[in-house]
Amino acid sequence: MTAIDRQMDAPRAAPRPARNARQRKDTRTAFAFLAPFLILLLVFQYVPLAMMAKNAFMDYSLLNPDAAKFVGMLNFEDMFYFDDARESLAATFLFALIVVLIVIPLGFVLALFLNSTLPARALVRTIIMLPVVTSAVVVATMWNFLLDPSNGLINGVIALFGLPRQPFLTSPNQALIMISVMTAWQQVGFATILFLGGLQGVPKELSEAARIDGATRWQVLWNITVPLLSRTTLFVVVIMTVFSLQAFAPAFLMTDGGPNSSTNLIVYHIYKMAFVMQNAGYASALSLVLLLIVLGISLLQMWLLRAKWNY
Amino acid sequence: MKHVLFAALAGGTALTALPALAQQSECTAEPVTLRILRTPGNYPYPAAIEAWQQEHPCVSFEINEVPFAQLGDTIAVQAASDDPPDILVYDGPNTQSYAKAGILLPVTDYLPEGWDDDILPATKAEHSYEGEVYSPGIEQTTVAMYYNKALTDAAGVTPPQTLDEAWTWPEALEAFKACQQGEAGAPSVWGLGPTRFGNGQPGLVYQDLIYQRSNGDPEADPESTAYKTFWAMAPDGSTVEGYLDTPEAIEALTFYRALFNEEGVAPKVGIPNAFFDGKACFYIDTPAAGSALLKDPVIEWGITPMPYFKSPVVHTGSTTIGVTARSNNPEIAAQFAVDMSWGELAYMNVSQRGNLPTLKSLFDRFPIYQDYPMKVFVDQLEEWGQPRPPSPYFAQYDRVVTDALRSVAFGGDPEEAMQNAEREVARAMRR
Amino acid sequence: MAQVRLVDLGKTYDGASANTIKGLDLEVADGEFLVLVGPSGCGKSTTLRMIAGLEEPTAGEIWISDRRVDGLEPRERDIAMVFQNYALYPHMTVAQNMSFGLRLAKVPKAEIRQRVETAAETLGLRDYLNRHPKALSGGQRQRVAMGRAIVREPGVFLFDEPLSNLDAQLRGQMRTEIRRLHDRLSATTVYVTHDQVEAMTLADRVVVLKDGRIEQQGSPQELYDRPATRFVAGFLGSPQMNMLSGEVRQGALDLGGGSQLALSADRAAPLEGRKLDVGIRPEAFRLAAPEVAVIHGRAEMVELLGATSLVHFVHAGQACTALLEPSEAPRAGQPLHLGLSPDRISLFDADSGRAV
Repeated sequence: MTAIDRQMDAPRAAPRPARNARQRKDTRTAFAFLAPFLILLLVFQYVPLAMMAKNAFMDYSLLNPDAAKFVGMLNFEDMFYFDDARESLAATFLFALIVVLIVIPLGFVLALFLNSTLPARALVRTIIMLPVVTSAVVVATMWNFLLDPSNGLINGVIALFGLPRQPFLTSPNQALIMISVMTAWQQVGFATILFLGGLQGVPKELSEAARIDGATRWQVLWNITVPLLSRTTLFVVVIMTVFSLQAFAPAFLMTDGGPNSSTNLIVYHIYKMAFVMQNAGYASALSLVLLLIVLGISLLQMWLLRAKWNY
Repeated sequence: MKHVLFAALAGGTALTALPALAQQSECTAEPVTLRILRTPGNYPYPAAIEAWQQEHPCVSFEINEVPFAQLGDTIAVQAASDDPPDILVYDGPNTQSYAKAGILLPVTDYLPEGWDDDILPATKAEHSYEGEVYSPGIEQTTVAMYYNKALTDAAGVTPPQTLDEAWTWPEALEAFKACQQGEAGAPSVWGLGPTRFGNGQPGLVYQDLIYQRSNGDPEADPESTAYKTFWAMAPDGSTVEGYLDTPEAIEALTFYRALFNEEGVAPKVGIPNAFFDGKACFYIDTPAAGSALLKDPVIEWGITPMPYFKSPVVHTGSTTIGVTARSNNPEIAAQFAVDMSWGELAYMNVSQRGNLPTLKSLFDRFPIYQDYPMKVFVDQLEEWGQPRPPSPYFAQYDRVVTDALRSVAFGGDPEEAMQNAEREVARAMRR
Repeated sequence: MAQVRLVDLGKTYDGASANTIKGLDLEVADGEFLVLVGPSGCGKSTTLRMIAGLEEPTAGEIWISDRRVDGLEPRERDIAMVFQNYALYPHMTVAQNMSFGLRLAKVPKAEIRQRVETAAETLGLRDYLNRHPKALSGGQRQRVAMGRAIVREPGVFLFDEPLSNLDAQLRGQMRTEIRRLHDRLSATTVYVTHDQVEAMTLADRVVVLKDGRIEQQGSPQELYDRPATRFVAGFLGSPQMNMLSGEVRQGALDLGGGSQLALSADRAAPLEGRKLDVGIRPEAFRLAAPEVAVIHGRAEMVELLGATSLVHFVHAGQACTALLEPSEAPRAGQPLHLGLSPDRISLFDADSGRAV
């Protein structure tokens, strides 16, 4: 019988005894310790959030905040009237999708490798973790050189095989894929670590039991390891999706959102709307929409992750 | 490059306090500190400041520097605060935008006598809004086309040296092709090198909007597309509709697109120092490049006027100096800004970097601009110079049109790009 | 059914001495219930895992029936294994857990169903077939683990300390069930435990391992009555066998503290003058009149267990235990006089620890 079973069998709890002075004092002390952080959270997280929500209904520019005026739902209507929000969100979701589609299988395979007894694990671990801890600026600069349409290393290799050089970041059809690949390359180490943690949490006996039950290693992987890692996988998918939805650096550092808005990721678009286009009200409205999308994804994750079974 | 600038920002903005050095006169009144926000290494320069402090012993300065790429963002955040910097050194074309937002203080009343006659008209137009002058202007730049003489000689190309002989763009293209070495699209020596501005990619309004503008006609009927093409925005700044997506503009942009694609004579992305390393025959830059080459002639070089289609045009403009409307010391700040831009102090500031002055009376003081090659810049400024389309929405216009030009350079459809740009700018102007 | 044969089996680990196996020879007969027992680190689990194919031996051979299986995958060895922590697949129901191996083997659906139901019936799991392991008690989970092994009808059952995660009461109950199951299926079984009670109650034959070698093997009673070494003597039996130092002098065993025990001449003669360890089972003591008693002492503490009483006393500096009838047991502090029959003692060489 597990502890939970016992708890459920226990007789119904008696009415809670009145709190005494000592307990009240403990509560006060606890609040005193928590207060600085709660206040910081309030001042730097929730107050700005509330202000952003308010600004979403204003016509408002940073250059002249005093001239802000209430415009009702105009900023939200603009999202439907103009193409930018739709296009930017579509680009962002496509970006997230490509990143997830690359990172999940690759991260999983790398985690399997690191969890094995094969040689060169330390080297591979270093190689895949290096991009994770490298500054986004360095990574972007490096990939800019790699993807140079004329003299880049990748085009050099392509030309070596007699194939036509590719425009990469200067092509509306390729730029988004390229920054997705770059981001996936950068993030795969993080996903690998998460998967590795998940793999190490799967009791070894389960795969042993399956092997004795007659499973080949491939069948163990498919019937035991993969289903048992479903929670980890979902977690990694959500982390990577939310991370991708909030990606800014590739658009800011590599493409300026172009060409032809093809890499106009939503957070970069928000930045551009607020600071360059001087339309902070609309940017706030976009932020609010993004917040709701991310919140929705997180809620969906919590709903999917509610425990059905554990080990 | 942009990354480098960004990294510099990440390292923290430099905060320099300049004490009132070598003061001869004693301060007898209340001491004042003026705060200046500028890009690194820009004016006002120490020599000019110290000279001014002789006259104003009670004023000291606190200087805050941010990279050019972040300047607009920083001004947007700081200028509207309750305690903004007193002096802004900002990008000139934003004058109307800042004036309309109430960030800048008009300095019309502080301008010295004779300023109106001495100032370059393009500068005055750029720095004025609704009848008031918001910045006196210190220096002026424009771009011309540099060439690597060893490479052009080898190709048997002789670029013109005077404005009346200037190439048209098709002539220039022939020269690019003749001089380029290697496979089109990935040569070892490019016909036309990349810009050093921004991230090195094509499309900047400052440099690349002049292709289509030069395919218009400023003297044509104001209702004609030729007229609208030249101005690229209604001269009163009220609209761009019909000004970007004209047949003339599309024609010029189709040519522009070919440079980077079909002809493959210009790179789509930046190559640091390409021209100075001998990896480009031609190269478009401000007088700064010429000043650097005069000091350290790493290559044999010359300057040819900017090519054009029908009406030669070059963009003027530079960073400039202004006073914030919310300054705690508006009078002394305005006095400082104006003094920095006039007479000897203006000369001290301009001569530091080798750009051109905004005052006609100072041209004589720069002998280097009296003769070829640098004379090309003076001639261009006086005969062809136009501000970038002045408007309170220039910043938005600049960004939208740059994105559109870049997408064309990368191979996009000019018609679609310009249509989009007109719609986006109209949307920004709606506010 | 099948027999298992280990020939000169060895296993070494780089830089570790625990769990190594040194030249193990062992044969498990068809239908035999063999228990491998020993302290932790003795290599019993390693041996089992090598039979299962979860670990590869570094030396020797493993035969199951007439096939040499070392080097083969576990699935090729015709075995089933029950793990200490059950190792049930948490994402499968009881029925799915039990049928997993059959499904992999592509056994027809109807037959799977029938086999699972039969096993569930046997193990009392009928009502739980659609539950997930999370919703089962420990005992139920262990039954599922056994059911998973049964349905596959393997040649050899392997048990790796299957009861150690259960509480004492359940352990006793499951012990009976396992033995009953074995009697019914008469499957060849290798059972690993560190619990000597399990070894005693379940085994046809017990193999005591120590430091990767077989210390002794035989029926539980043989091992209990005639331990070949001091280690086996101490390991089997609860409470533990008392161990006193002794020496044979003039045909009698001197147990120290003035205690003498007469030995038969033919037993005493070869041992004359040798230092010995004398093993005495607690139940070998009986109360005796002071005149005839061999050991004289004082009851230090008395544990009443209901059916029996444990009397703790000290003899010649050695803590000892005697198992006595509650009715005759002294109270703590009272004098204690114990008699001892010479044929109920085990004698070990003090140096080698081997029985003499």
